[in-house]
Amino acid sequence: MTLMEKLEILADGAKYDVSCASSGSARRNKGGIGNGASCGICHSWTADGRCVSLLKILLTNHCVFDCAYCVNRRSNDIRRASLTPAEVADLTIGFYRRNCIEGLFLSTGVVKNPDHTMELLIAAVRQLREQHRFSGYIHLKIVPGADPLLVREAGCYADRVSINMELPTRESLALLAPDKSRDAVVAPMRRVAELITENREERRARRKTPPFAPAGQSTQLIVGATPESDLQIIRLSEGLYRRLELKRVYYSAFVPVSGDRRLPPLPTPPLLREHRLYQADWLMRFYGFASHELLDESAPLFDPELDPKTGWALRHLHLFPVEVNRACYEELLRVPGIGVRSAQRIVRARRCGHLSPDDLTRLGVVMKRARYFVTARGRFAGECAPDAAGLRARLVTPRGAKAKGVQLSLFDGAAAEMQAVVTGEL
Amino acid sequence: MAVYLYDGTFDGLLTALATARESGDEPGGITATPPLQGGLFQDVRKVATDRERAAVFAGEIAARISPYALRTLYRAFLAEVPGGELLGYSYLTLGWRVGGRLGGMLAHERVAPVHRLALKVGREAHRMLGFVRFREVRDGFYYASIEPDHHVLPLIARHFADRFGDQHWVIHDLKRGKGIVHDAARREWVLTELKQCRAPQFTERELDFQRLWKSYFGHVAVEERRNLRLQQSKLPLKYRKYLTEL
Repeated sequence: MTLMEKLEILADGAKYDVSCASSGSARRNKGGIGNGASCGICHSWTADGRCVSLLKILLTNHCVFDCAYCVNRRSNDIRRASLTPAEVADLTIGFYRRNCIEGLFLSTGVVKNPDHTMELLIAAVRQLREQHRFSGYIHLKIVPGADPLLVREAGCYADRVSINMELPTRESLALLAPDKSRDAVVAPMRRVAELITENREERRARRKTPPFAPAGQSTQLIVGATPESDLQIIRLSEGLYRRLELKRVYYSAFVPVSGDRRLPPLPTPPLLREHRLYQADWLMRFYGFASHELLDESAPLFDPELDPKTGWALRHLHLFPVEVNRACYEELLRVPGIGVRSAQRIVRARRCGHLSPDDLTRLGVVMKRARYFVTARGRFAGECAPDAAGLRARLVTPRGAKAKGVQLSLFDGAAAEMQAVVTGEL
Repeated sequence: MAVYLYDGTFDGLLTALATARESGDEPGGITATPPLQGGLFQDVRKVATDRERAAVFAGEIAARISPYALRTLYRAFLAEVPGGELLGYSYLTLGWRVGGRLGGMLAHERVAPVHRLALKVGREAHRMLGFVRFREVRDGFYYASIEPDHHVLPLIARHFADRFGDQHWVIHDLKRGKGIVHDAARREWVLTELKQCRAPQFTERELDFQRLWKSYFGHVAVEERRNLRLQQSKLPLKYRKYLTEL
């Protein structure tokens, strides 16, 4: 098999893992090649609109597990291939020197057993770090059930490590991934969280201590393969962020890669649902929202027509309008149409003078939404005072408004925006 | 109203701004390209770049307004948009009056346009960190061409020098005829005028990697999620010319 064929097979096997971040590590180049850019850099975008930042491949797609949702499951009849550590290193360095990538995302099928597989992964990245003196970004998968000592070793070479939870509940996991127990996933996650905390403290005491997974750990949840509600998913994420200090939880709209009877028949991947989950995820991490504010048992699913923040605002109209010249930063963040950046800009700009509605536009506030929720100098920018029903009608974006031989309308701009919304790309 | 003509460098611009400020009159224009038909009554003044004076003036901006204002002015200058210099002049005039508060006056009509330009330049520079594609033209020598809207080379050189310190490389801005040349042996780079004489020839290994990269790029997209419009909004067509994979 040629290197090209191997690369194709192993890229195909890795592409359903959605993590693409290359941020969070500022590893220095010590006379070799590469460094970490803490802001993260995207190098390209593929035909599905997802960014290419890392060379995302499997070490091998041979797998002893038989997870129903996974393209690499044992029972799937596909071509199998493996790369040697030297081949992984050569490909990574070759693409890196050409500035095609920020680094390597190395995952794998499970060969023999978790420990053996983990050792293979570590051997590959060790070669990169030691022989090629590569200081670029490395995202390494932890195999569920791997020995804690190997987990520790992995984090010494990698910038970020991840263990995919894939399914939100124990029951779903038992049903679709019989070889992968919840505990085999959670135990290494816990271990990584502990090691990261320990390392942070050691580095505070002694600055020369080598970093352990400086870009933290992440995980992934598949959306739509099992019957969990949005509420269950964001509660789980919230717990992961709070208790295990995860950097990211990724959501992956389920793409049917097999006709297994245990899986629901989905015509298309639930991309809009995935997008709403990402929006909620952002609200929990950067906007001070708690999961119970966004959803509750009476409404456990996100409104497809409204983003979660606008939905929350419509349920809490008594808190609005907010006067932008007085409201505190936290209040500003909760206004639909005001993001982290514009909230910061408002706080900075109002120290130098009273803000008018026109000023808000210049500061980058999306007035299309914000106008109904803010006053500036006591004046509304919108023409009406908020009333729940009328407001909802103004704020929803028509669904599936794809310009396909339709009559030209005033709302073409909105349709284009909707397109970006549906994709869930972030 | 006088039109000031400078040589297109930042030092030149600073000299022109200092001269205009000294004269006390509002300038009619500050430009690096001579007006095609100098209007009959137009008073065009050529400014000789004075690096010392520029340094003093820059120091004054940093001290009396803020280092952030100087940085914003520099980035806006790199935007190379017609009329940008005059925006910079009126930005500074306000700055002399309000001092360090200038940085916070984001919504002010004299501040917002300059900030917008600086932001645009910063954004394109960041994009270029990803879009530069080096191609091996001789054993160990890498060449990349770009055609950015703004003059981002000065902003991206450090990043590549840190990252590819052991590599000989050139990043060539074909639109401006300028390039960064990095020497691996001395670990130094210079920004210099650069002409392209002939199309670059690639090594065998380079062609192999280009094939591998193209094929990888094709395979990593998920067919069921195909969304070319999203791809295009992230990766505008104007940047695709020098991307190996597209």
